[in-house]
Amino acid sequence: MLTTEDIKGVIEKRGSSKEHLMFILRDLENISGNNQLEIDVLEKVAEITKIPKSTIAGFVGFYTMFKTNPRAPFIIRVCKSGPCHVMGARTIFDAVERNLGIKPGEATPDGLFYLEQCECLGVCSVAPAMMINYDIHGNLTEKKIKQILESYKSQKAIFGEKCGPEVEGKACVIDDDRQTKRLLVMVGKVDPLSIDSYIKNGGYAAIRKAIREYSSDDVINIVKDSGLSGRGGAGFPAGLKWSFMPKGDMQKYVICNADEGEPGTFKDRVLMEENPHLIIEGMLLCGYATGATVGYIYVRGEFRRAIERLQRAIDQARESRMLGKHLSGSTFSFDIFIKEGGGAYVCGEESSLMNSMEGKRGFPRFRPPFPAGAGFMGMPSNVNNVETYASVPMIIEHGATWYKSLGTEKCSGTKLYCLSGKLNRTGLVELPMGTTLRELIDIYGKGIKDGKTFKFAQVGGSAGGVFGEDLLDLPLDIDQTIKAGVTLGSGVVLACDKDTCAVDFLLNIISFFAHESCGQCVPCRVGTSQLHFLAKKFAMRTAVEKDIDSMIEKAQLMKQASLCALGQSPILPITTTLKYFREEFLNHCNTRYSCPECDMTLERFYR
Amino acid sequence: MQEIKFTINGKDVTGGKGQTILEIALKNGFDIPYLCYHPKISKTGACRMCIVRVNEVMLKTACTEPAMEGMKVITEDEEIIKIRKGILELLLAEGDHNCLYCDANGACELQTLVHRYNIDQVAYEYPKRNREIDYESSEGLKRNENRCILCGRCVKACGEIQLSNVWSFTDRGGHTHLTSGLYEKIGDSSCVKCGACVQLCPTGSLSFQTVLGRGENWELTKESSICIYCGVGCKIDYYKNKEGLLVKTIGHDDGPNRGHLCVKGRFGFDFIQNGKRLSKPLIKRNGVFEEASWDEALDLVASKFIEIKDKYGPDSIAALSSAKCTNEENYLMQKIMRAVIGTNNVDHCARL
Amino acid sequence: MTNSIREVPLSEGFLVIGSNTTENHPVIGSMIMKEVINQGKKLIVVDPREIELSRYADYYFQIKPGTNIAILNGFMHVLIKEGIFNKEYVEKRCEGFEAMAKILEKYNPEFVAEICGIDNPEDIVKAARLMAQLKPMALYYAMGITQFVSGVNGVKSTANLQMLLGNLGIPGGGVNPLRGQNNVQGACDMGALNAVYPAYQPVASEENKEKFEKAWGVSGLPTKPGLTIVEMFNAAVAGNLKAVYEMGENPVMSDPNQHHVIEALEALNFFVVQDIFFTETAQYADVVLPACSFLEKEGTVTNTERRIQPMHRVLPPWGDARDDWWITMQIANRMGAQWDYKKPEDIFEEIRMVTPSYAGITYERVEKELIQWPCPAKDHPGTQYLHKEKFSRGLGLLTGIDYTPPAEETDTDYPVILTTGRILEHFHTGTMTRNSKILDEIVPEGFVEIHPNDAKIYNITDGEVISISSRRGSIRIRARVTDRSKPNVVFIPFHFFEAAANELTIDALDPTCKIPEYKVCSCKIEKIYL
Repeated sequence: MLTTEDIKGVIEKRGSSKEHLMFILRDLENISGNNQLEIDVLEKVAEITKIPKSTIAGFVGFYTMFKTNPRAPFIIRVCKSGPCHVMGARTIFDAVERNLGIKPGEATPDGLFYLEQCECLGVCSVAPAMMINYDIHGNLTEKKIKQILESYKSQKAIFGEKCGPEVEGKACVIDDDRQTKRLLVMVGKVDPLSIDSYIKNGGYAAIRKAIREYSSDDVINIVKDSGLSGRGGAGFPAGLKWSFMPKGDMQKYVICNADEGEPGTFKDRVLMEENPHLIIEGMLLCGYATGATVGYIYVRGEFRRAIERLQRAIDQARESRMLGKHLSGSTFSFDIFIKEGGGAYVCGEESSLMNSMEGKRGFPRFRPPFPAGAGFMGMPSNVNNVETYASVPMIIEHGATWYKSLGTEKCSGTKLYCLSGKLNRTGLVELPMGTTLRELIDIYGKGIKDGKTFKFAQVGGSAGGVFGEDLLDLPLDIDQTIKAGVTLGSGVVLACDKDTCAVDFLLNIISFFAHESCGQCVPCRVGTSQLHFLAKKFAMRTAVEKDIDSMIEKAQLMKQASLCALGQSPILPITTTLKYFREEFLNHCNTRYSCPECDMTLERFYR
Repeated sequence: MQEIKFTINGKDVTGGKGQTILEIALKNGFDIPYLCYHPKISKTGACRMCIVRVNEVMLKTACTEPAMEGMKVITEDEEIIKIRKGILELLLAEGDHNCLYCDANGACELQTLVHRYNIDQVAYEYPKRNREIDYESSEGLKRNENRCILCGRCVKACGEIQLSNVWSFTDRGGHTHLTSGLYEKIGDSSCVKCGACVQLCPTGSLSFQTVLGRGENWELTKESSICIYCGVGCKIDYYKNKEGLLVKTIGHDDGPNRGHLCVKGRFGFDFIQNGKRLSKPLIKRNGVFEEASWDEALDLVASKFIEIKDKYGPDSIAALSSAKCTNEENYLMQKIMRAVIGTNNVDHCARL
Repeated sequence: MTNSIREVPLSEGFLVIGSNTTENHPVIGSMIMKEVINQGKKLIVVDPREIELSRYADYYFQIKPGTNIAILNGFMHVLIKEGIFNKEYVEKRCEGFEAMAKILEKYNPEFVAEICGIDNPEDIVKAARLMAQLKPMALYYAMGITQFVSGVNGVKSTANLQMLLGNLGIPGGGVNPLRGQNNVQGACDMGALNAVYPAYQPVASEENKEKFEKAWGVSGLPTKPGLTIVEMFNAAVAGNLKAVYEMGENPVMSDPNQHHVIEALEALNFFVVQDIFFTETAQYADVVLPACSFLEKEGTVTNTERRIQPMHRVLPPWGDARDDWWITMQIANRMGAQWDYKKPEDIFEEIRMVTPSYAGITYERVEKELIQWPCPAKDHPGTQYLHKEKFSRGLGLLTGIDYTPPAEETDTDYPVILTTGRILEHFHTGTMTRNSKILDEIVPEGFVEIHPNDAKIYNITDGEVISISSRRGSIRIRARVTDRSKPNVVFIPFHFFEAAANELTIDALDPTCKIPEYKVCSCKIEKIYL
């Protein structure tokens, strides 16, 4: 039990206003000894911070990383999202269960371990994966799990960077010279722990150049000219977005969306872990261009190494006067702070993200007002993805024309593609916008794993569409995917072979949405639950043909009526899956139809 | 406020810049349905019932979309009807919306919309999650969250009108539900029983303890008056049933309270129909009170006052008037003392 | 209130002193909380108890009961010393500044802190500086300013401060007393006071005498001011007052020094009680007349912001109960008067004739308009806030006022300070709320708030029944151990006849307005050994 002094100490360190709630609760959970936020502790937090008790209750209930019930010094979180699912996550639960004798939601009798399911951990190239406290382990096998668990038994619980080398950012980049490396060019070369190393490799030249040579409008125009579009998934032109920020002296914010939660995506993590100063520099440029003086990086809470490296980079940048007041002798002042997530996919949606930053439940906001009008704390804010900010320094340094020299007509530059699933080689590759799926699978993925045949790939994450063979040669850029009725999203390619059951795959996706729906708007809250129920019926082989229409109808209603992109998403994976595999769904309408994949899922998650 | 002109269903309307489509539409008599919106609280945009068509293509929630000059708004078409029906069907499937045993029957915004959009069946197939039923922990409020549509009005009523911040959503997705305080029962929370949440609840999820078994909503009649307690002077609508029994109070928007009440205004009315009320004049004879007729009692009072005034002078009589009585009654009280008895010995509890 | 409730959102900040607003005027309390919590407006709270508002205050001063004037002087001292008061306003609209400034000289923060028993004198400076920045700041107070022997001076001090800050006569500012009864404002306006006719026209004026004689068609109206409540009881005990006609009051419960009140009532030759319940007072009556409750009558009431509102008949009269005005008229007529009011509106029409501030108000208007007096003519919109451009007396009078201690200070026999007040769920003597099922269920019995330190000293546990006594009486009451008040200060709500706080309170009065000092007297705590 934490003492009042412990609690006061944490609040004093973090600050008592609501926007620091995530940090306060995380610290308290970390020092609780059994990863628990006791009601009594929350009660004290409410009393000291004057944050209403109900607000704290709502907050804790929203973010899955927090629990009010006792857990254990070590929480094992096994990922069950798409890539891990395809790569055998279900057997990982079995393996943990065999080793420790616990099911999700249970602690071992010795009180050392507690098992939970979780969604994507952002290490999809080494799926299946699990996280013990903040320690991520990938490429799991039964034998490896046994070793890992053994190793923890003699340890004290820690909550810092300690992840194994195979999940470190640079290890996740595919080693292949045919890439066109711009964003990744420094990965492995620059020491992420050293600002000197970054500067020696040409870092912070772009911001110096901008301050020296360009007005803020010049910077916006260069970014506009470069054709850089947002890399988070929606693909909105970055320069145009920046130009929406109002002029004037009010407090403005630059926000970096590093809540990389789209299953299959791990590009932002690689950048943050391996080249944190690049992101800082990109944000500095945005701050210079928009007149913002404060930046925030909202990093998902699971990315401990990224958080620690970013924090270190920020500290160094402050020391080296790359952050702070009157930078490079100019009138430009800018500082950056980190905010953490608590385990909620929807917080990758920019308005949910800002609510989360303010210490609220991650409910998306209706628009207008847009972030540029009223964002974080009601002030103008510009939100971009990590990869977007990281692309800016090179644009300023080398110019818009240079940047546009790669990519397609409407989508310039390079794209980080995240390869996962049943491939002989998985990881991150940087290629010009518009690379085809075939190229990604055959050249960079070295073909489907174990010589099996390609069945489909989901491109763009859980919210992305399923690609059959007919789309293998579609150039994967923002524009052309939309025209083909699919999406590039965050650049995820999850390849599946003939062993994958389309019904089981779709059930996994829909269960993800049902788990991650924030519950605010009716279509998404009830819609995802009902879709989940229907998809499960197919897996159980109790569905009827009409249920296919019901799924489409519901997803269509959600598409039309949901408040944010999450609720509008399920329609795409559902319709594209059904486009190719309707027959398979119909087969699943027969109780005597045999499907070991579905059986395994039902046995694991729906017993 | 800058004026803007646009059309709703082809009809020209004007409104102020910054106002939403819904605000202007309602003012102009267009009946756009809504559930989470309420004029007293900030916008939510969550129920999605008020989706309208803007400029022929876009679907926008009228409650959040600012009206723009020259905008063309269509409040309902086939697609919109389908969406609204779809949302209502989802809501009906999510909770236990059986009007038979619901306090709100006849005064339920969900019920009204279900009738309006001809929903005649509930998709029973989908599993429902059992949420909290608590009829007992609070002296003032009852809750049955299975009737809740999670519109969030109660959360905002408490956080923006009463400022007690008792309610919040917790959990998420299909598991979303309400909590009071830190997962406490409402009666154990810091709820001050002002009833603002109940007053704004569109369904029977929250209701007053007083309404149980006191008649159907459509049988109640109301009349406004001013609260008897403190000096704020809240205007209140008092509801009574067919038998004349007071059932509930609702804060009136026109009063200084703007619809809000405190626990006393909300629940402190049943003393009026308390059997202990005085119903007959009483005269004390030989130390014992006996019932008397009005004439008898009034004559006695008048004659005693005359007698004492004659014997000891007008200043031997005094009156205590009342801050609980009307202006007219206080006026007459000082008048009788000054003009009829002839003394300024009149005072009331202003200082107490 | 000089200003209006709807101006709460216009204030940039609030000074709440001697008002537990969220419990006693909850609807206004919520409005203030909304501005402070949701809109980030500033709040300064002065109160002996840690009331809910203090939790959200930028500065909170937990003063010793009865030391309001000292802390108000302290704020003004800082404003003057630092030259941050509104000089232009004071120059243009006020007089008496020099004399006041001289008196305020000695009220430096340390001196004030000593009197008030607070340990944050530096906050007095900070709070005063904050007040100077809040344009406008509204001051709200209630009985925590007035119920002292220095009550009138307390009120004057609040006005001094607001004039110094230039906050009178502007929207969102003002000195805003929160009145405790739904028509206490109206009862005062109507002249239900010992020294004034309706609209505060003094009785001790030949001109007014003539005016009312003419209006009422009588002669020989008395010009000598009458007795106030507490004086009435003193006169009864002395044998000078023989009869009392009491309408809707419960002095046995509500007035200080209960034993003295009972003694007075028993000494009367004739006592008439007109009420809705057989109250604690009624048992001493010779005649008890059943009156209609508020929902059974029509008429107008005037709220704390001078707004006149109509009451409607919601229910038929209970049993044989009658309207209070009808009863009064019957008594008058049986004493020889010839009043002929058919309905309350007839009376109101007469009120308009003799009450200049109500002259423009009609039943028709109050049904659909928001009207606050003064409203001198039918085409006048009423007055949202007072003292616009100039004060009623011309220049605002700044008066230097020295702090004076309460009538009864603690000593070895009675070492503890007792303060009294109301709680959210109950009202005044409990006649209504104790007879409302839900309210009585929520808080069914009285209690005394005792600081944990005192509880320890007296060996008292939470919930234990203890004895509290003063020089005037003794009650048994359940202890509620809480640190809301400081050590050595206890609080008792006065709603509960079973443990009537007013058996203990002192009937010392303010010399000017005769308000009793309910908010502070001395008492002792005793454990009851069985």
